[in-house]
Amino acid sequence: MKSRTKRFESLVHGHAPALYRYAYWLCDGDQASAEDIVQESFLRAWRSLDQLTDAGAAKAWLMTILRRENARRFERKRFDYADIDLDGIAQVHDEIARELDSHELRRGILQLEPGYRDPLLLQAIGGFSCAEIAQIMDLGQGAVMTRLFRAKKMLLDKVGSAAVNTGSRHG
Amino acid sequence: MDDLELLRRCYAEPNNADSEFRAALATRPGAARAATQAQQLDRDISKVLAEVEYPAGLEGRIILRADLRAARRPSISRLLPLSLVAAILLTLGAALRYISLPQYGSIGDEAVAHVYREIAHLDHQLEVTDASMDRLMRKVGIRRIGQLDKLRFAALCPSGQGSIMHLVLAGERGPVTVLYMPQRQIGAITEIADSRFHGRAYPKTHGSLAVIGELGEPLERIHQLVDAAVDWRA
Repeated sequence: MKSRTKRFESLVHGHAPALYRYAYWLCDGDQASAEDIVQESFLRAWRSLDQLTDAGAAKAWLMTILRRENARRFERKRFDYADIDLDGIAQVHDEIARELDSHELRRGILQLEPGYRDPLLLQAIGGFSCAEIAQIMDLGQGAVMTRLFRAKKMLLDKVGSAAVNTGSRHG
Repeated sequence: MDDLELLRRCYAEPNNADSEFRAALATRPGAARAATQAQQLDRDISKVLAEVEYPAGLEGRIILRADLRAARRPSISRLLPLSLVAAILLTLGAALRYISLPQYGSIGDEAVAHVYREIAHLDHQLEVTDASMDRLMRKVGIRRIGQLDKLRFAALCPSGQGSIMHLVLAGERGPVTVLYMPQRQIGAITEIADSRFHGRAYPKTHGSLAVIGELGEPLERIHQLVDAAVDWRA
């Protein structure tokens, strides 16, 4: 049987990259905040490791911890999030994203309200089904589907058909 | 299944294998097109969300912080392997970064860049035990001989030239970053200038010590505090 330390190391190596990406987008692209809440989340996971009895549920468990950690951080520093300069964020991202459509999609994701962005991140980064997202977010499955539907429709509306139209770009 | 429900499913989970959903798609071309568009959108979203630069050495820092936190408990002995793994990870991280990191022109550039890269640590208020500090200092080849009363964060960080000991102490005008860079030799005290911070780098026996604080922070006091608590010749 693996020791507690080994289990923790496995969690870190197995899930830190996905958790960081999830945190990055939850934190509006703020790298320092994302790293901060990832580290805090793993510290909480370390303290509560005995609660994790099913290794297959580790990712959902860690993302739930991270969501709570982000909520705590949001409560503490609510003022930090006021008047976010999305153009500024998008401009920084532009250095990485070389294609205009990718840039627009990034911007659109950052403009989504947290209630819509979060299930989208859990689906795209976590790879969770609607049923699993419903459990993580403590929502009904129908509500998750509705939020995902609206989030994607909003992205399509904001980005425009030229950016994500399968016929024009990928056909 | 009515049209609205079908459309909702198309966008929410276009790859869902539910038989009723698949059957509905097969008989309604408009919905099938919507599902195809949603699948493409999902691929685009996943691609964009993955375009995030992952911080080098993060996993090592996570393990090290867990180690530092756990070290406050009486059962420290069972966590020693964690320290070893963290040290190995940090060393590996440092090696990898050596390949990809830009070479900084001066010790001031390197130190200030490090402060900005890890600026979140300025807000930390961790309890750091003497035992943890002893281990940290041993890893960079120095020895603790006194107390660092104003300490609020301590960690080893990978750098292009080996591990850096990264401390944050409470100053008069805010947090003060102290970086001990064992591989970095300088011949004389060097001033560090930046739009937000100012600092000074001091030559030590086997490396150098950078002290960086907010503009107006009396740095010499912090330097003396650290100097009195460390044997640099160890």
